[in-house]
Amino acid sequence: MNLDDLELELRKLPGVRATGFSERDDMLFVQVHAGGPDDPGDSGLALQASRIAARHSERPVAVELVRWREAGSVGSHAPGGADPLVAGNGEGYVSIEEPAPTAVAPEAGPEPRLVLLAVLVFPDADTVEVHLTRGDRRAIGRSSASGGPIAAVHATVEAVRGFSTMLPYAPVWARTIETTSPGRFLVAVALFAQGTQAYRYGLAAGESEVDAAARATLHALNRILALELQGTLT
Amino acid sequence: MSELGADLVRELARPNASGIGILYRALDDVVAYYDLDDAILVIDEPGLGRQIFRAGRQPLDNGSVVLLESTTGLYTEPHVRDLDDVLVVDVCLIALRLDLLRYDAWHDPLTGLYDRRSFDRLLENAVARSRRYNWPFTLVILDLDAFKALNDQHGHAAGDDALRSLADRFRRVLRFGDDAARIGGDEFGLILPNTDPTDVPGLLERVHAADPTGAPAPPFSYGLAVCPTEADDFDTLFRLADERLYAAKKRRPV
Repeated sequence: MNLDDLELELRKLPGVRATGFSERDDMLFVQVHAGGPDDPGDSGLALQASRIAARHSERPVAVELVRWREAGSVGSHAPGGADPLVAGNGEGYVSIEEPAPTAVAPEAGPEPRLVLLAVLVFPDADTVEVHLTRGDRRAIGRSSASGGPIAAVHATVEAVRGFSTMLPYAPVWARTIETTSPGRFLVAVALFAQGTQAYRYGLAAGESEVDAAARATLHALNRILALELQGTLT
Repeated sequence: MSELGADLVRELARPNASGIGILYRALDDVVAYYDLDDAILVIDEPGLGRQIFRAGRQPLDNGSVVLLESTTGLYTEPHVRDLDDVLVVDVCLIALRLDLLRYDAWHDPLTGLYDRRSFDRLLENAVARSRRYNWPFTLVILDLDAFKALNDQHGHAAGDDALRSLADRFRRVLRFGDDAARIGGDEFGLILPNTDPTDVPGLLERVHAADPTGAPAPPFSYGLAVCPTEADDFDTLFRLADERLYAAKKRRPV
């Protein structure tokens, strides 16, 4: 991969003002800042940037598009809320991952990953439950179902804490990227660790928005959890 | 500092030097030379607009992001009094302009895809790799159907929109390692490494379906040729794909 070519192509997109890169073990993280009079201000820029980055990289790519509007008005990470791809001139961050990794799947053998057993929604009780398992152990996390996908992220994080009390990450946002076919949703999530100021991003498909959000949360966390749990639960 | 400047100028003189690479080398060298925490370059360049570059190619953080609105120049943390920032900024601008010139020379301005010159070079390289390492690839030549009628009936802006739409679909669908180019007025070329020709119809179906708005793709016909099984030289591959394209066009209902 030639980062110079990728960066030049990204910077030639209308409205792009800055780029940044972070090469991680499992993905390339690309940050794109956009704004000013030539910023088209629509979802096209996020898609274009993602496609360009994916075309230049052999590894999965996470593209974070940061939109800013006027002097001193720089967006902050937007929690939950509107779908960034249809939000128009958005304050805050728009972030999508490309290409989409497959949904988190149960894995056999000694792999110390957490497995999603079920995501249950109880509309009457306004509750979403996320059930996780690893080996013989199970954990359940709950949150208010009316929160939508971000509620599933909260519930998943709560369930994960049943296995890892040291988990420093808290939900930041969850966004539905697209409905790939009837009954198939693609959701991206972000989690943030206050202490290290580090973000983790996850992306997964699911049968519903909350199902996909729970899977995306595991996608974001499973790698660090695998390392931690390998030492404690095997 | 003059030593740093001389190094950068020598870098600029290298054949095929990467302008962006030199720019980051300059920022990183400034950080190293003065033992700084950070260095950021803000420029405003025709063809690119306002651009911010941070040492180490790092993402902007909450501190550096305020420079998005600052005047052009070189910013360091901490501030350095005797820094010859004019030299660094000028070298970076020249380096970046080299990249922009190179980019414009190899890309089609309307679609942003590679142009014919780039395509010829890419195809020559693909053929050479195939001969040397036996790496197969499929060459696809596409041509928009009824492009002249589209221009005549709806104006050249509609024709340009159709070309851009198809190019955008290629960008969405093609994989890492695939190449797409606009090789003529309404003609496109695709070089698809390790792609079985039986997979091409499916790929082009995805090109048709690639617009998230659901807008129909401009209709096109295509022909393909496979290297090395059908031919292993540039001219024969191109001729085979071109002949099949025109055969496909003749079969298409008017």
